[in-house]
Amino acid sequence: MIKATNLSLHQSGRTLLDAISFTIPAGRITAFVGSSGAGKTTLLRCCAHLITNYTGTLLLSNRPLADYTTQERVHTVGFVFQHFNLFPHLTVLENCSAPLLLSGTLSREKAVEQALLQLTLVGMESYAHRYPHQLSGGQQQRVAIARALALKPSLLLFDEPTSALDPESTEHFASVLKQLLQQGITIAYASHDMQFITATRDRVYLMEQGKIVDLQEGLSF
Amino acid sequence: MTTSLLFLCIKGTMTTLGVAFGGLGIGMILGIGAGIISARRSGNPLLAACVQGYVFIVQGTPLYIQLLIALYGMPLIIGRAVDPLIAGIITIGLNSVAYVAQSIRGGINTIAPGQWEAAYVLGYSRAQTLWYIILPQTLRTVLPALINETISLIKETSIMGAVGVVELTKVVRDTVSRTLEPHWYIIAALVYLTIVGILQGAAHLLEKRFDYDKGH
Repeated sequence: MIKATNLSLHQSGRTLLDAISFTIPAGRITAFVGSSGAGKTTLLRCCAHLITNYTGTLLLSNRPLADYTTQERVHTVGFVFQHFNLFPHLTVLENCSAPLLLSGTLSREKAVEQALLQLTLVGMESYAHRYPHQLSGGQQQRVAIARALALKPSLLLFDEPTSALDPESTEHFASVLKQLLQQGITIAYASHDMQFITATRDRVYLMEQGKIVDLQEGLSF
Repeated sequence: MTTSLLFLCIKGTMTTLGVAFGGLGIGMILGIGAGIISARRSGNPLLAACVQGYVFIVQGTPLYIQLLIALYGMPLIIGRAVDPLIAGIITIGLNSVAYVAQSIRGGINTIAPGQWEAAYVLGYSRAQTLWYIILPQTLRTVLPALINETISLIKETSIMGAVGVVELTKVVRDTVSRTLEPHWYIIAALVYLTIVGILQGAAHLLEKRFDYDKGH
């Protein structure tokens, strides 16, 4: 799904990524683990095209990520932010349906229908007309997942997915990940929550100071 | 006598409102554009610096001087005399651009970078991000400042009488000098208060509408 070779990023005299190479295979769950400042979030942001001034190659389905058009990219890679970044002035339903409407490919009815379908999938359909501030952290995360899923990406990236969740929501999130895997969605996340990583591990890259220092494969989830 | 004076006052009030809202229209349209251009994420530092320079000049000079420049400077550029009313509307409008731009710029800069990034990963274009995500949140933040600006504008129109625009203040000043009845000043103050009161009521309704954090 994603293959990175010699990915490096230097900013203000600091090396954030140091010639790292990794793969995110389709249909699996890949975790990037490490302490704060290890470069795992930076790496995910490169994969989501939020950072573009890196050197090295970053291929998405054997094509350079930079060659993707906006519409191709958003329908391939979804990103769920650490703090979810829902739009506070839009309702839950509008948060999920607006990107579909703006892409210009769907009618309003179809966009709402598709957004509601994704909200149902994450168990948030009854909150469709609420605003983000009226939801708990776990509920906001589920809306953020539904919003990303509405565009039907084949790869979903999560940045520190459990940092804003209580233990109960973390447990629920692990089951959501399992559901997504069963739907054939590839997942990659960055985290330093060892308990969560242990519960959801499949492939784990260990990072330190912008470098990948270890890969553990074939773990069960 | 009193009826004709009242008629003059109403006419003066209409002129006051015309200058204020004409200026406000110019101020809002150009000010929002200038605010966007000068915001941190504008991507055009040269234009942003130009806007900042404009804001510095406008905020650093008296409105009356700006009005005189418009009235006596514009004819040198366009080659003919300018109607004081038109000069007044343009001056109030261009003055307002600076204050609106400053508010909008500040408002946009307070929006969390995560909002831009979320829009980007969802495929919003830059214009769509501004229009659908950033500006609605910005307007909510800067609404009180914009309301204050509108109220200031209405009161500042009273300076237009100094160059011959027959607005409310000039009407009552001329009336008092003719009739020696100073109560006309009180009437003018009440008219200004009524206009400001109506505006504040409308602004309150608007604030409630924008306030998605409360009342749902």
